[in-house]
Amino acid sequence: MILTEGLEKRYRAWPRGTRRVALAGLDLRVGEGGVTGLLGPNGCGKSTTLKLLLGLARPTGGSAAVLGRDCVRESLAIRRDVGFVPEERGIFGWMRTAEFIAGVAELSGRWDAAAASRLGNRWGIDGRARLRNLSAGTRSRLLFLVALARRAPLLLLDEPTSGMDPAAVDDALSEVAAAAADGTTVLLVTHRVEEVERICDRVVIMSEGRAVLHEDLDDLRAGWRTIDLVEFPSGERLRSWPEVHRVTSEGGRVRLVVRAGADAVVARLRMMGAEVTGVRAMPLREVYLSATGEGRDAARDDLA
Amino acid sequence: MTSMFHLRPETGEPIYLQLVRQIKHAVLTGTLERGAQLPSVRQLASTLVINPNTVVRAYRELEHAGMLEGVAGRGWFVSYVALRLRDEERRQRLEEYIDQLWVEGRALGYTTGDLAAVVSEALRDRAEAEREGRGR
Repeated sequence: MILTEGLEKRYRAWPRGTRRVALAGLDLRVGEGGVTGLLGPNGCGKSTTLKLLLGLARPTGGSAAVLGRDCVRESLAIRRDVGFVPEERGIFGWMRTAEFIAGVAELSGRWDAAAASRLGNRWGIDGRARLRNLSAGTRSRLLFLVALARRAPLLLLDEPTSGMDPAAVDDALSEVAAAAADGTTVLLVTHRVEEVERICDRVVIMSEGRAVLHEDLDDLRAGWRTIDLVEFPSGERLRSWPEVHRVTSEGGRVRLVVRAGADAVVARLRMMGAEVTGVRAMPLREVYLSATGEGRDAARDDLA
Repeated sequence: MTSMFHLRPETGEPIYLQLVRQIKHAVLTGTLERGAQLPSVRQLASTLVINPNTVVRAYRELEHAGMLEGVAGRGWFVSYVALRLRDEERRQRLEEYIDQLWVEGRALGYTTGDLAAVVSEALRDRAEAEREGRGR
């Protein structure tokens, strides 16, 4: 459904002649069906990626295709067939919600009017209200509603639940689950790790304009472990082991983060005479911090 | 029916395994009776707010274990074979208690033969008590 190779986007920046790199060679592959979560710190290029996929911005390098169509040359066709919740929520402030919904319906190839009115009623969307007067949560729900009602084969959701209260978030995500069960492919951009943990079956973690991790969530849960050991002389060599993602040491203790094969790593460590004091599963939050390199402080706090 | 599942995505255990465990438990304890229909994938995924593939994976795993049966176009049902599995699982648990008794008994200095005698005597007493209880 989505395929990018070495996708790159540089913006002109100040001072003149310099460039800000938003995407630095993104390789992304999202197959048909399922919900893929795209996680990453602010400014890592998540929203830029979505804009490029829809052809709302031009890449400065690499290639991108959505639904088998080129994102630059066939942008209009892609936009017609993709349900999109943009990061930007301030659009069409002067419109009444009913006009907005009717407008999107007209532009869409397919439109599920029954779903639109069902969700509109359930989420308390007043057709006469103007978009600019809606609360942030209601505006998010409105955009979510029109994206869902298009019955598109692919949904690109950029922080779709921002501004929603927890009950509304659950309600919205349950619609995503239902859409996925109906065969819709979903790419969910979010900074809420717990959303990805619940609703996604794959996760892509981005950092500094690249995908640093792309994994099935069940594999991730089964594979990633922290292994704590008492410092021993050859500790530095552990960095070169293929399973080892990261090594931190603090006050005579060493913590390894492994991506898979923790049991084998522990057995090998014990054979080398290391004293292993604990092996722990890693919640997605910790994997995320470790993969984006934001976990150094967290790891130190853990050990302290 | 969906309210009997409590998922904790933040733990290290894959969600499909949590589901497998809880459905197994429901079948073994009789909460889910044989022949009972499970919620559809769409329904369970949207109620629990989890990925539908996770539900499919759990159902498939239970189908492989002979506990569920997927019927094309109709949904998922607790298999009639599940009852036999239930017997096997009960038997296995009993064996575990017997092992435990044997280990503890040996630690207390009984021989295996002594243990057999003590256990059968104790069970005979209980069986007698049960018979009398029913007679009243």
